[in-house]
Amino acid sequence: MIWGILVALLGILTVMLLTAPLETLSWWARRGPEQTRRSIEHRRSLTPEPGDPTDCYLVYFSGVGVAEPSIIPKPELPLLDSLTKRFGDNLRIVTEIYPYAMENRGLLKGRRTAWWWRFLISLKGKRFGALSALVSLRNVIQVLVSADRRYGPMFSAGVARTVWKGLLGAGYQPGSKIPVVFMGWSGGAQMAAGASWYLSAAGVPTYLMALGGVIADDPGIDRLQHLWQLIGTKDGVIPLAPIAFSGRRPWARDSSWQRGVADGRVTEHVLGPFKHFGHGSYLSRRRAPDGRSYRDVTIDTAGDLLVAEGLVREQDPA
Amino acid sequence: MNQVVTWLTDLGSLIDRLLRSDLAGLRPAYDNWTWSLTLTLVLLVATSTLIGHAVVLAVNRVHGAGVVISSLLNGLYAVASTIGESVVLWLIARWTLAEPPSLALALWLVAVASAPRLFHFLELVPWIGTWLGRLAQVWSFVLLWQVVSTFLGVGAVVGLLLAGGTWVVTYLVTQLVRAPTGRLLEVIWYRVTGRDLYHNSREILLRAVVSDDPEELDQRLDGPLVVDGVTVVQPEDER
Repeated sequence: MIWGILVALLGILTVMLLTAPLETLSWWARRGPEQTRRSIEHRRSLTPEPGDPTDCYLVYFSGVGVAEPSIIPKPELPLLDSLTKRFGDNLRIVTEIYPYAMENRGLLKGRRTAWWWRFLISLKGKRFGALSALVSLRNVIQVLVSADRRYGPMFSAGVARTVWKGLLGAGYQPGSKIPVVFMGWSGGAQMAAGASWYLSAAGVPTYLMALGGVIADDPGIDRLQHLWQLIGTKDGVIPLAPIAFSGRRPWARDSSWQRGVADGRVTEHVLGPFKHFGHGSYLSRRRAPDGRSYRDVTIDTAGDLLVAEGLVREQDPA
Repeated sequence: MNQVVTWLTDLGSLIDRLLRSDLAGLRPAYDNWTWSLTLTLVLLVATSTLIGHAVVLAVNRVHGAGVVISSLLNGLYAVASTIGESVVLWLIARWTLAEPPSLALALWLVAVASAPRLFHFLELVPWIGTWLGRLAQVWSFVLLWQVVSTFLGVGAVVGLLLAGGTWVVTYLVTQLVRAPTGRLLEVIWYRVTGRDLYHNSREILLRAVVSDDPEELDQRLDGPLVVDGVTVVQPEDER
């Protein structure tokens, strides 16, 4: 019985791994280059209109547990609310971007497999609720697609295009050189690193704030102005990155990651004894020694780093 | 119908014995080998390899009828390269063995040794796919060594030298013809599609940051990907 279940799970994993790159390959084969070239030329060609009061745009990528662009997990909402409260109109936050698929297509609508993902989500909290973890597994595999040198350039082109549309929708002026900060949880940080290659190639100054981020040695790191890696000492997932991705190892001197470290553009910031998820994670209410909740430590640190870099001003209290 | 079922059963049995390195069990297949089974095995390996390298098709936006044409060309290439490798093995064996095999036997040995490459489709898997493909290559070499040692009646050491020599010479010949055939392919591709041929995905990154000027691309593609004075991607064999 156990062997049967293990074989079945191995079979499911194999099918998921084999089919993972197909959406990316299919998108690129059908319309990827035209869409990518059009959006890059668009970014390069326009003269910005004056008067955008925004200091900085923040593009938010949730972690691998999400299934739709319109859904932000409840524990993450206070983070965005606090940043909005602290910086007001000086910081414009762009959400509703699903970085784990092409063309901002979530899992629950507009796909032939949508019924399957809706079924898995519906199992949460019920008898076979563990199966809903297949959604996270699917997104983790997409992180591997992004990190793969063969597929990454195509995947990241698709994500960058989606980000660009989101930025335009939020009022970003092409050519304005207003900085864009990606804030990515966990695997979302890798997606952000990949997309930054294309955005910065079109003149947009890009930054990445990785919250418990799992990032490969992505070429996009070379084009980031700065990458802040916010980590918890009890986060058991972050140490997997140097194991999984050879370019993250200290002796990989010619890797994008190590170049960033040598340049001082990649910096690590230890928040405390935070775990990757669950109780005691980055957004939990557990108390730190200074009395703040872990959540407040994370939020305050994120905001302080943006201010210290000169990217955004505090909101005028008046 | 019975003949088809029998043939399919023979094919399955052949592949099963090869993957288990059941060399004693292969003796009947060796004694009664047929062109149809041998050719089918080669074409199945070619199909698996094409699937594993689907990224090359996608990067160059091959779909629809283009996939069919690519499959046919891939099959022809697989047959041609198997014949080429067989000729190399046959020539090396003629120079080194007192009782050299026939060319047909050499072809059978090379063809059956390619059986592990039926797993080449696993190269499609992200992150570890390339390593799985290399594992299949190594396994294929080991199987070639085994079948050469067994069916040519030579010891393990001589078998290793024959198999190793075949691989090295085949590799060198492939490297020699790679550049001119690559250029020819680029010309044919451009004539047919009106588009430049992408050799690998990193060219996508490059084209996003520079113009499509062919001379500029040529200069940059010979070595590491250098953008704005920063070396960002090292040349690597992505296959």
